[in-house]
Amino acid sequence: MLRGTAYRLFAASLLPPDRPRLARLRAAARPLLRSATVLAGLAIFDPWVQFLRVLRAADDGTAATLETEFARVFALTGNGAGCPPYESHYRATDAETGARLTALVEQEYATAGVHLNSAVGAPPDHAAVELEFMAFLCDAEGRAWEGKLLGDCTRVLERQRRFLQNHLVRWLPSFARAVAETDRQGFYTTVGRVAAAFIHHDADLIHLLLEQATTARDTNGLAAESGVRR
Amino acid sequence: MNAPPPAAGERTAVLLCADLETLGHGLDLRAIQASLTAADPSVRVRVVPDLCRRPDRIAGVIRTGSDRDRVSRLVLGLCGRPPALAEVQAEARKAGLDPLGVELVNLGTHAARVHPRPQPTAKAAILLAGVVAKARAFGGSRAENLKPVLPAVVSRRSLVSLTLLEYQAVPSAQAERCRVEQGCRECIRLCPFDALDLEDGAIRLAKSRCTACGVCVTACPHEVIDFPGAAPEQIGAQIATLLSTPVGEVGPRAILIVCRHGARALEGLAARGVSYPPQWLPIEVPSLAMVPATWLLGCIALGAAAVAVIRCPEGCDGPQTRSDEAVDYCRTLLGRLGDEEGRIRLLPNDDAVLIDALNTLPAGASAVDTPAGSDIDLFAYHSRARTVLGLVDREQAPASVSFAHAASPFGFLEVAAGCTLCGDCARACPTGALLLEADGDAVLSLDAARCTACEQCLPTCPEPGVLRVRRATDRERLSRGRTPLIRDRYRRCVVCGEPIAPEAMLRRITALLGGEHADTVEVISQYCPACRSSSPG
Repeated sequence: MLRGTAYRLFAASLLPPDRPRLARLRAAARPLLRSATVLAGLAIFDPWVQFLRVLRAADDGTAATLETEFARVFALTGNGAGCPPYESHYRATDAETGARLTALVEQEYATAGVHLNSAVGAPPDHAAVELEFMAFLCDAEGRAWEGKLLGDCTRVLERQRRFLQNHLVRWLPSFARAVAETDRQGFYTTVGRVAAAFIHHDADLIHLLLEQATTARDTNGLAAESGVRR
Repeated sequence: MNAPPPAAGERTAVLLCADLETLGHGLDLRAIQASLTAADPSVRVRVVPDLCRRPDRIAGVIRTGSDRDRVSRLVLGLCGRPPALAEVQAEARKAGLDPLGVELVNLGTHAARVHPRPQPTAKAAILLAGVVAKARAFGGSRAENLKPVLPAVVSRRSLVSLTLLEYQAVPSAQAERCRVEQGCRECIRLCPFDALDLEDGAIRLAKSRCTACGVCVTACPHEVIDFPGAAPEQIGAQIATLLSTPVGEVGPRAILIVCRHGARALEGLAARGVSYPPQWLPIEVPSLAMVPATWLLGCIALGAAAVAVIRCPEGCDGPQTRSDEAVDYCRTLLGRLGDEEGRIRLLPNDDAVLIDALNTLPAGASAVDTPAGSDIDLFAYHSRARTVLGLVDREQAPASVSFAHAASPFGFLEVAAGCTLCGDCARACPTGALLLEADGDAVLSLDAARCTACEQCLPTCPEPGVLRVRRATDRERLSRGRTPLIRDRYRRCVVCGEPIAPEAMLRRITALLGGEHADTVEVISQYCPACRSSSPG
């Protein structure tokens, strides 16, 4: 559940920082910050705490500054400056490749049974959309764990692993570096840094969980074959 | 380049487990505290009761003290191997520290249990000073450097505190400095586990295959691969400090290099309380395969009386022959310099035989009177030639030191007749040893001190048999700097005078295309590309 919440927060932080959205982010950050030390065992602890702190500090007084910075950092200007938050911008060398990448992302959404809400106004390979998709998959994983459906858990984890490794891990770190070089205020640098650290960590963690699940399944299978009761 | 001094106000916290006072022969922890802080006032030493069993106290201990203190580095002196690395890492995070920068030193195995008083205290102080220098040289880590691992044993405290994951450091290439787009593939070529590959124009590490052996780190000619905890500058800082720190006296100091598997041999000796000379100062590396010959020679250059490498019992994550050959190369070089070959040795992993070997320091071994200061840069890739030449010059060796050896860190390119100076080899060279200059004449030159015999130039050469690379060490060539290998005049455009191509290349083209394509060859030979398009016919 926390993973899904994290992905949602990252996604929301990369959307236009209007006052209602900032208020929701602040409200979400407060309880998470109070209990953050529980996560000291995880490598994303430091960037996560820094992220929650900047969310908590983003009030109505800083909203105007953030709106200006949002436009400056994420809009591609005529001379190529800015950091557009789209996967195709960082991975595609031409329009054709970009269209193909976007189609692959849409295909991932479709096979998971989701479709992009056109009212959002963001393309499928927008950072916020891809991160929100990861949140959706985390929710699906949570339901599978609650139902003790190991097969479903494994399938959803595999889908998460594939999406992270084929998409987010391949471009978000470069995006985060570009934002850090462009951002003057610090908010989006922190967002980029935590999102990049989180997806790396999540990709590694999911790989570990899948390895354990495979080992457990093989062990149970061997036990069943030999007639051993567990 | 020496170990960087601490920034103003920054402290290095050294926490010592109080049980070390009574473990084995016992350590005088107060004396260690006094000597470390006298040598470096920015070091803050605390003795912590039950530190090995209660790592959850670490963050609390660090936070006490003056508000002006800012602990930026952490060293733990322990009785044995840390039982709960996940907890140590979590405590480091709570204290605002990067866990991969925390250094642990097994004072029980390396000092308290193996040396009678007063030796273990002096040795422990030296080892701690070395590890402090290593910690201080830590340059930070990135998410790409972390590999989560489930520990073999999960304690109840770990379950309750959710410190269930240990993080192993793995190498990572800095994409912005990597030269893969210029054709360099050294790390991919040398990785023993095929863990590196080219993806989307960048080097990617498959963490599931990576064993963190570190071979890629010391193989990279552009020094773009980070490896927190085993970076060359960290190892260099540790060794330089071990050999020069005044915090303790153990006699002529020698360096003992062990991998994480080989370290168990020393633990075996400690468990049996077997003693050996305290001059042997161990440093642990991820694998022996990552240790180049120039690191062994660098230890000698920095004043080590001897250097020994303990064989790995498990093949050390790669070809065992790599460390065998590196040691043999060093012994050969020392022999040519008139020095005692036994100053660098490969030791067996067997307890019984190992102890005899450790009790035998080379006859007449003593610290070198004029070591190369504390120049940790000797361990950097770009300093390989300087390390060897510095040793050669200091030993007042004969003018001609020249020998071929399979593990020579250097190579020499020989160019036979038939070279057309196309420059493909120079463009492929990852170290810049080869260069094609085009001012005036076409000149292919070689800086022998940069050539590492990687042979990436060979497959690019369009003329079979023209290029040959030999692994050898030659003092005169290494000192010479950049020298021309082959020179040729440019044929120049009859219209504008701009260079067309070297004469040798045009002769080759004529030989290949002449006769049937004589007209084409004539045009190519007389006009530059710009003038060809405007020439009649």
